[in-house]
Amino acid sequence: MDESSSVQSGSGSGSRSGSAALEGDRRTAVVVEWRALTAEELDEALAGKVRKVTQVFALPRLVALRVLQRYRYETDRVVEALVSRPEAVAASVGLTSLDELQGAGPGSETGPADGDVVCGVCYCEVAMNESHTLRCGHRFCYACWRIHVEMEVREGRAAGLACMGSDAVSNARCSVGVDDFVVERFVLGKARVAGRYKRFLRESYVSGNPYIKWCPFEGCECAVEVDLHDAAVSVECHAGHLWCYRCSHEAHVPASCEQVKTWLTEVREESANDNWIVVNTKACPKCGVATEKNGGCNRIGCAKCSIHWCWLCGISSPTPELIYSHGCGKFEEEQSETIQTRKTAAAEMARFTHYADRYNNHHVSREFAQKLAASLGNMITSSSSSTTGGGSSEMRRTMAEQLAGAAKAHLRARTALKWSYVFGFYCRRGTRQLELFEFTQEALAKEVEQLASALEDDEDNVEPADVVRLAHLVEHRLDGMQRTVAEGMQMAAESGGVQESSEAGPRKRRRL
Amino acid sequence: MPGVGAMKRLLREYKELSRSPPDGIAAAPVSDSNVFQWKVAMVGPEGSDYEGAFLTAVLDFPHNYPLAPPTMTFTTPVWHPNVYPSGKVCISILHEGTDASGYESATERWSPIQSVLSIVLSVLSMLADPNDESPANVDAAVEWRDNRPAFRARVKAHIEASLGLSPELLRRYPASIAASASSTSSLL
Repeated sequence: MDESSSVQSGSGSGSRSGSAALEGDRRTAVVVEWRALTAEELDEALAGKVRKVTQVFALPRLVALRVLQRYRYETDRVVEALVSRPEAVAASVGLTSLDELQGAGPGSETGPADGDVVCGVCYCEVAMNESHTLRCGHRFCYACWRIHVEMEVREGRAAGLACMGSDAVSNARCSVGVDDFVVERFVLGKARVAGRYKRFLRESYVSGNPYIKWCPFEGCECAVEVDLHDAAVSVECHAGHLWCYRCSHEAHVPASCEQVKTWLTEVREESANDNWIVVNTKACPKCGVATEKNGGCNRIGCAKCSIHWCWLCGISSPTPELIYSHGCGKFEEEQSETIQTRKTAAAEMARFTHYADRYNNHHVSREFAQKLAASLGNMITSSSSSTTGGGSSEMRRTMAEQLAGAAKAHLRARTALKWSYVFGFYCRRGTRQLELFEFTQEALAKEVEQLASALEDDEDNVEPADVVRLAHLVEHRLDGMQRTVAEGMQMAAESGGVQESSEAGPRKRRRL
Repeated sequence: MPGVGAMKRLLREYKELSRSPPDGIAAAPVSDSNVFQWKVAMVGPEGSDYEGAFLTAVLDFPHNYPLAPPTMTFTTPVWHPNVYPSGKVCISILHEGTDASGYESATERWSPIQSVLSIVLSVLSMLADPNDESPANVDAAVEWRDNRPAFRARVKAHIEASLGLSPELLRRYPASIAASASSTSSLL
């Protein structure tokens, strides 16, 4: 099941990919394509590049691998360089000519079938055809090759595997890289060694490739490939983690990477000053009982006096409807005259606290959203594994998929909502665009609350159709908010420290 | 399994060294039961500041020798930029290469085709030709560079001590001399 857009609701597992418009070049939106990669897909991509180079130029696999590494895995550049200046390519991997690249020339062979030879490592006499030398002529027995290669792989060398000899005169360690024979015979033959070897190849493939990054979430082994180097695009890995490709932070649209960085510094400083304290409990506005938020929804039903109130602004009502329908995400400056008149640091502080409060609130809710999305995601797997083919289990599975899709939409929206307050904080005040943005933001916040409430309801009360409808609403609104931002909000952002520095240099694009 | 290859190789090296002993060098395992520690004796290279010295050292081999290098520690006092005050020798071929991209750098470092003999030969050439770029003994390196006569005088005192254990040196380096005296008594 393919997902064609980064903001579309996901359902079930399947290849993740997408495209997103960047508001980079002011008028013309830059569309960035990306796709999530598993470890196996990374291996396959690397193998494909090696295959291309080996087939066209008849290079040994390992030579192709080293050349690719030198040219940052850009196959087109390698091919072009091999055609126009093979000597330079050869020199980049310590060889002198295309012939040498192709493995011609002396050495690199297993000995003839007859005769004995003394291995330079173990000093044992072995049959010639039980020994192997690279083009440097340092000959060792198979047993020593195996031990050497296994030790090197254990220590993390893969593409850099080399001869174990050294120059008789200078004592310089021999730098000739191992050939395909050595890898095939001593590395790939043993599953454990081969596994590690492939992992290290994969790691150097990712670290040497500016178009691929590992998912920054702890313990995640997925990666994402983009077609525009250094693109500030929100991506989602196969494990469902949402992050920004450029800064490797949690996905933070509509805020920019720079805003996130500035914001986090500011929040850290404020909390260090004790000016801004993370609030864990709040008092019920009616009975005053200390209340802890245990879900993402901001509508609090007091367990003691059964009144309904808003976690954010404290407005209360005997029925939940009013809480769902009211809005409090906008900062009403004219409301507080003191702020207007004093125009001091206190006003700035109040403003900061307002945004920080909302940011923090959605941050906490986002954690719940993440857990909910994960647990509903697991439900799909368990419902599909327990399926024996009955009609009701088929229905259960569809329902689980729908709920999981909605939970993901909820997570995406919650994440965007959290960062929208950072974006809002850095926007120039009093513009039409900000007004429009805050309108959308407020609407999104309300819809997200309703979705959260529906998702967190008891399983028996959940009406999947309702949840799906709310999720669609949220996604549509999220799209709208992103469009609003893209349509020039960036330019309205305050000039102080929120310039998109990435737009300065020319960026290279490459086919996915 | 661990150490069997190393043991075989060390015994082969020992056999080879006893069949055709090189001039001015003697090397052997400390005992039949432990081939992973060797005692080495060598005569200071002709024409160098150490000419005529009788120097002894201990080689400690790891169980994955020769994939990893041994350490070498002099048991006679050696005043030299590349020998730590403890006697430990610091030369490049006793260092393992840790370059991740391996095949590109061609520096002098340990490789499994090095041997006891090649180590001792490298150490003899180090004695004749110190490398003061990354000294193990900073004081010795500074003296070697700035005050060669004083450096030579101190080396000469060590040489005399290594031959006869002069009371003058015993007074100055009591601990290390005592240690080397007790260890050399069992050598060869």
